[in-house]
Amino acid sequence: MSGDTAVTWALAWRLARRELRSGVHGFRVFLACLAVGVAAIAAVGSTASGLNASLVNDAREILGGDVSVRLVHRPATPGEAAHLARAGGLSSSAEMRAMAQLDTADPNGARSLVELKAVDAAYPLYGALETEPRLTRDQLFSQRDGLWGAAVAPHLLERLGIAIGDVLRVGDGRFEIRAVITHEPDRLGGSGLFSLGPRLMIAKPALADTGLLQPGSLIYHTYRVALPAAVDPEDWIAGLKEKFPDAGWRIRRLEEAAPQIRRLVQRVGLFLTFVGLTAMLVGGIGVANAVGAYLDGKTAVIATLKCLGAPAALIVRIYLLQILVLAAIAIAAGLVLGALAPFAASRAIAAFVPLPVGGGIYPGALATAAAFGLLTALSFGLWPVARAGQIPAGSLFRNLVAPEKAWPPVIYMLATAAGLIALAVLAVITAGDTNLALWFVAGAATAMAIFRAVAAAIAFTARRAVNLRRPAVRLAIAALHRPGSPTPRMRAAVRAVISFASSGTSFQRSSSAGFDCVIINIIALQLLQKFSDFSLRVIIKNNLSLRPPFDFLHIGLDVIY
Amino acid sequence: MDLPDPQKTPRRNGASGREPIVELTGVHLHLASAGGEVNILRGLDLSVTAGETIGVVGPSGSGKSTMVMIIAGLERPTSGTVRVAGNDLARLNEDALALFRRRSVGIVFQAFHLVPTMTAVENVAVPLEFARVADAFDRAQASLETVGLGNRLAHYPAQLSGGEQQRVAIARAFATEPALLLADEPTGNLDGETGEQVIDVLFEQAERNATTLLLITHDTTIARRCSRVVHLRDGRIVDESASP
Repeated sequence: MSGDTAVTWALAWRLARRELRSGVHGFRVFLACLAVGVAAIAAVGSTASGLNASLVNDAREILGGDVSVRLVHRPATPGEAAHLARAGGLSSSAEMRAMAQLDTADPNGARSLVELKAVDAAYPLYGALETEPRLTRDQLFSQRDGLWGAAVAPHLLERLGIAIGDVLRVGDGRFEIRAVITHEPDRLGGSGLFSLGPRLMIAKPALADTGLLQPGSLIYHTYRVALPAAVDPEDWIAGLKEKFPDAGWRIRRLEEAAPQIRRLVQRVGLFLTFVGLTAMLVGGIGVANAVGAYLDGKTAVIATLKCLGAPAALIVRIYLLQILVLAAIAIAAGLVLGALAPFAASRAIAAFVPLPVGGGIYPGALATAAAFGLLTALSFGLWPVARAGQIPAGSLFRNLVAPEKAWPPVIYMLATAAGLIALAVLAVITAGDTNLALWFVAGAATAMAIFRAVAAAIAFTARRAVNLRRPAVRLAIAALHRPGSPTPRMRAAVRAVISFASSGTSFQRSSSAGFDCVIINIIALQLLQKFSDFSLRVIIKNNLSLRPPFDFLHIGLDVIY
Repeated sequence: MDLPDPQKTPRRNGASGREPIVELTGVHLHLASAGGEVNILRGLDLSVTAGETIGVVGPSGSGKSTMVMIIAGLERPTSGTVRVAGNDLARLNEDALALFRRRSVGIVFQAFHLVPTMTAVENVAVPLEFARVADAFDRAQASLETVGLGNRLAHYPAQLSGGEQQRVAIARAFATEPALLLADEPTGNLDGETGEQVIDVLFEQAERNATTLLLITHDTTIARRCSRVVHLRDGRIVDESASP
């Protein structure tokens, strides 16, 4: 840096403020790229935090008790049941898969696999079973005129084309559908997201009438225990294990209330973080483009200031401060959008994840997004700003049309490299899966290098295509390699979007074994499509719309979209 | 940066004798281009004494603007020596050259080159702010008043006429009281009457500030108002004449 007394942050700030009077006209792309990237990361982080908060806050309701004890194939022995009952509140249920068939004379009548759940009178210990119409427990499940009552998931009515009041046969039992379940408090704690059929809920005494309780039947007997506040769950579990060491039950605590959901949230969060990072990468390229284009338009002003005696370091500070101010605006806008995401996401993801997203502000997620935004603005904006510092004062006399692009001083190149490394480190630290994040960063860097080489090859080839007779073709080819050509920037932008698409596909392939991953991919690929549309449009418009030889390409892309 | 104290820079012959403020010796400038090397200056020798007013005339492409760029430290010659206000410009790096311009040189451009986002007074104050002058805005205001724009302080360049913009540029160039003022066709973008008014202001300011003036122009009438007229052709001085 210069020892010149004119190089002060205060003076740079005064001049930057004056320059900002022209408004954000030249910075719309910059603001859009950064705000979208920050919003994406803030939204992902906030939504994941909101889901995790719901998992914690609603853990008792999801688990159905303070501790859940599950036996497969057999119910608890009288001794075991008595011990569980002594703990405090106790509710038991039996769950199995069964075939439900409309009770008609037609043996080929509509039928469906259902998730049968038989509950006792204490169910649920926490939360409430909500039905439509709202009925009492007795009205829902009791036996009337030889028919047990049942509550079913809405989906079962649609699947079988039946209505409330119709009768279903399950095994040897006959059940009158009396209500539709609108909220099953422990739905996520049971079969979670993975279910083979819609829910059919009956009273536990009715289960015996189905004749399905046969030796070897795959029946899950679950006992939910509500412990007094003074009892430590861990102590109680230790005592249970000590008293019944060979019971073979699976014991779950509050923090294990919904393992499938927790895993889903982690995977969705991880993948969407990569979505956000790709957004940032594309946004960063947009930032560099926008800053470069803005500063190209400021060549005369910069050269004038230099003629008046401004050293390069002062020029860099003036425009760096402008970038930081505008970045702050974009980051703030992105954070607002991201902070609102948990509120908006509840409805959007309700079809996939039956868990309310905890509304609220999540400072950690927002701080991470802000850090990504700031580092992106600095890493991608510093290079063109530093290069602006090298604009010769003599540009006022010549070269104004196509100012020669100088390399920035080494210190700024090092600072840019440091910023990019910091971005990569932040990505790895915050991704949650260090290994995957490292591969993501390495892949992004490698792809960037490959596409850079491809862009150079395109420009090299275009430069040698000299004997073109048609003016339109000649102009278009020349635009690929002329000074200031957008070819490298377009290459980087397209690369980022392609890598985003391929990472989505790879993720789908690598994780297709899990049902929940199908949901992740549906969400991710929808986001991919939306984001790809947006980012490509922004970058293409930024680079091409003002350059006549490329207008046809722009129009073509509009048609494709 | 080791630059001579501007207060000791000769401003006018007389008290300081015939000390040159600009001294070009054997200056050549060759620029490479796709079509081959272009020889813009071919051995330029010029000595300007402090306080002189020099009119530089010559056809387009004769090297007038390039000569101004070299004197202002905006272009480095291929060979030859350039001494301005006691500085050997070849020894100065880019930041030192910026400091040199801030202390010793004012420039008036044909296209004004005011900063569009700054008001008139802010434009004039900029070089003073660079020089860390405490009362930069007071002095900028006073400078604008001397060129007849005391009522246009808060106007942006887009709100001023061409003549007014050039007067702001002149006020800016003189604001730091430079020893040397370089004017590159300052009336080139103005109509005849406005151009005359601007030239009047320019000479008044040069006289008032005892500033050496080097004025490039195509207009021989304007050139003859200078104490000496230098004719350039093909990168060489082909004639010099003292004005009557």
